[in-house]
This record gives sequence, C-alpha cells and structure tokens, in this order.
Amino acid sequence: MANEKKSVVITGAASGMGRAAAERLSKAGWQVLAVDLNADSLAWTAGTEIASLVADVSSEADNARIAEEADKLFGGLNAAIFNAGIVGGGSIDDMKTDLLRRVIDVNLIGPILGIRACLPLLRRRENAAIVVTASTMGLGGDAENWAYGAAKHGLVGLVKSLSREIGWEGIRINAICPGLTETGMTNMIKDLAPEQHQAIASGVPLQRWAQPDEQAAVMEFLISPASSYVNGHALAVDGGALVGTGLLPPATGKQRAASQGRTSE
Amino acid sequence: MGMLDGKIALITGAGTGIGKGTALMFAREGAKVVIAARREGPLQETCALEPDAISYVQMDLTSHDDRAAALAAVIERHGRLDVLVSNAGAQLWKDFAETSDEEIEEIYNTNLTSTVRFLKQALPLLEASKGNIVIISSTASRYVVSPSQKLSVYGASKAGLNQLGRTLAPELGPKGIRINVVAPGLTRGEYSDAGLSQNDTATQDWIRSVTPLGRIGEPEDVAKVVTFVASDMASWVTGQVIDASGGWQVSAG
Repeated sequence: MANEKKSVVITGAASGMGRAAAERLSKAGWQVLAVDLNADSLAWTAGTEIASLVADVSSEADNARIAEEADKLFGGLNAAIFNAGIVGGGSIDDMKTDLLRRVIDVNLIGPILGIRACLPLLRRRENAAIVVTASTMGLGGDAENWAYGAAKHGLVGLVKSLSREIGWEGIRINAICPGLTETGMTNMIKDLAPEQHQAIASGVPLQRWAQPDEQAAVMEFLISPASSYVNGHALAVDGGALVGTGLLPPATGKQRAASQGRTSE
Repeated sequence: MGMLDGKIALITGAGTGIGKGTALMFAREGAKVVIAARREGPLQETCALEPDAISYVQMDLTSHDDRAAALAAVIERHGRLDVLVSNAGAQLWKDFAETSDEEIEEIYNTNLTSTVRFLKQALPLLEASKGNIVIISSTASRYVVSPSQKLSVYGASKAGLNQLGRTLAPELGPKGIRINVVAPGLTRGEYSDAGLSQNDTATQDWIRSVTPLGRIGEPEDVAKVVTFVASDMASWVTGQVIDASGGWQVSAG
C-alpha cells in the first residue's frame, strides 16, 4: 500500500467536537479530511496538514464528492466520523415543516447517505470503523426537541441495525451520544446567562460542561483498535447526566403551555 | 506514553481471563497494579508476566477482612488508589428450576452484596485520588441472547451491578469519582467457569454465528475497553454500561 498512514473523514468539522476530533486525530498521525457546509468555517484548517472540503451532508451528490475526495487523497478510508448536525426545535403545534424536514435530512438522512458513499472506501482497509454522532437526545427526550430527538434516536437505530449488516465484513459501527459540551454556541449562554450556564452544569453528576476534546477522545477510542470488540453500541459521553435527574431542567414545554394559558397534561 | 502512566490500580479476579488480560494491559499502559483473587497459583502466574508492575494479594471477595486487607496492601505498596476494577465474580449456567438455594445465595453474595460492600470500603481512597471505578458486568445483564442460555440467576446479579454503576454515578460525580460498567459477551478464558468446554465447537460456532464481528471475544478485547474507560481519555464518561461483545447484544436488543 502506497499510503501507510490511517485516514479518516469527519463531517461537521468546522467547530466544536468535530474540529476537536480533526485536530486530535491529525496530531495522533491520522490523515484527516474535514468537511463542513461553508469555506469560511473551515478556514482554520489552512496551514495545517488537515484537508478540507465544503459539502452539504444532506445531499447525495455532495456525499459522493466527499467519497471521491477521500479516494483521491487517501485511496481508502480506515474510519469515517459522521458528526455534522443541526439543532432545530419547536412545539409540535408550531414548528415549521420545512425546519422539521431539514433537521431530519441533515441529522439522520445525511449520515446514512455518507455511510453509503464511503463504504466502498472503508471496505478497502482492514478493521475499518464508523462513528456517528448521536446525542443524549438519541437516548432520552425533552420538550420541544422531538424532531432533533427523533433524528438522533434514528441514528442509534441505524447503528444497531447496520452493525449486524456490515459487522460480518469486519467493519464496526458505533454511536457516540454527547451531552452538554462547551462550544461556540453554548459559550453564548456562558456570556449572556452565566447563572443558567452554572445551573445546567449542577444537574450533571460531574458538575461541569464537557470540553470538545473530551468528546473527540471517545471518538478516537471508537475508531481505534482499542475498541476492536465494541460494535453496535451507543455510548453516552455526558458526565452522567442521563442517569441523573435528566439532561435539562424539566418542563420547558409545560412552562410555555402555562404561559399561554393552557396545560400540557 | 501509556494511557495509565502513574496510575495505581486494584483489579479483582485477575488470576485468569478478563481480569488477567486487564492487569497485563494496565501494566503495559504504565500503571502499577495490585491483583486480588482467591487462588494464589494464577495470581503468581499473572505477576510473573509483569513482575515490575504487578503484585498480588490473596483475597476472598466475600470476606470483609480480606477486602480491607487488599485495600491496605495497595496503600502500603503505592500510597494511593486511582482505579478499582471490580471483576471478581461467580458464574452459573444452570436451569432455573434445578438451581439450589445455596447456589443462589453464592451468586448474589459474591457478585452483588460483596461487590457493593467492597466499593463502599474503597470509597475514601477513591475520593482522595479523584479516581474511578470500573465494574465488569455481562451481556447477560441486559439481554437474553439465547433462549437456552440458562443465565437467569447470574444475569440478574449482573443487572444489579449495572444499576449500581448508574445510580452511583450521580452520587459520586460531585466527589470527583467516575464509575462505569463494562459488559463483555462470552470471552475466551472465562470458559471453564462458565461450564463451556474449550472443545465445545458446536457452541463456539453458534456464538460466532450470532456475533456480527464473527468471532469470540478475547480477554484483550475487553481489557482495551476497561483501559479506555479507566483512563483520562474517558474523563466525561460516567454512569455508562458499555458493551464489549462484538455486537452480540444487538441481536437481542
């Protein structure tokens, strides 16, 4: 093989845990193709050894381009991390159908199309592994987050079923289910509502938010030989939040309903 | 650089199988390890493979004094305890109707009651080190992988360990202690105790046929997951039950 270094494609690599994974794996000697929706958001890869590609993960054609680029750069893939996702919520009465479709398209259909496009490249390497970024919302639920939750639960179902379909080829697939993690977006909460930021952390057994690299470390584990017998598993990386009293303060929906003069019981 | 450089670990049931594999991997990843089990012979054999890193103490998990002595030995030798791997346990593959009260008592006393008590005894040491606990459970704790598996009493004891790990996570988190459970599928080296002969090729073929990765787990397969979850790489992982079974669990999930 001309290329001895291991190769990985990471979607949603503009920021947060996707970027942390790209940086961590590059540092660990992996060849990395970082994918995100626009060029500006990938500008951070300039001057690094990390390759970048602009693509919309909800597009079949763009997923084909991702695979083509990985083929051109690496000649195959040892791993693929389907991490791209968008948030999008709203009450069952009010959430716009367009947004609902976008949330399902990007978060659920996107990784499916990505896996399909990248499988031929993964089949070329021994012990290849796939990770999809689900969420604690793929294991639990919360008011006005049902579209996102449905997509993320869908990913967990995808992983369980596909593990039985491609495990026989020696390709592993697992889901990581991140909980509260400090990113550019959540830093806004920290700046604008520090008390709420701290209150959220106090509901987590480890009493803090995660750093993106703590998620990236688990992604590295799940694509490395260290997890050679872990397959079809959905692993929560949430500081224990999900086994606690819940991810978020309860009853956001109820509060909204009450403020509108009706109950949600 | 090892994943567990400078860490001090105590691993129970480490004379054979998963415990032994974990002790050897911990040693290779830079930890100092004390292994504890009932039988001295296997303990000595494990120590002989990594004499600089592994030492042993004889311990009957069901004895309060033995458990205290094992913890005292760790402190005496290394000054602190960072990782407790609770792996020791009893296995039972048997028709429920034919299981005796003594066997039921032994399974729950060993796997559940003694483990709970041991964790409680170790707590002050782990609080001092901001350490973590890894409990070894089983696929049988959550899934019925075959109608004929005959693991009801055993499976329920391991299910108790899962929930011990889950409920303790929120209680120990504020003390800086993580706790997780690793649930192995059928793993080589655990056979003799499991009532499965190494030569039982029919059963081994059946296991391969229901395991997506198409092979039987090795102690190292499980040890790698324990090493990861015990390491700082898993600094945000607590309260989890992690399957290490080649995808076997999905068939019954």
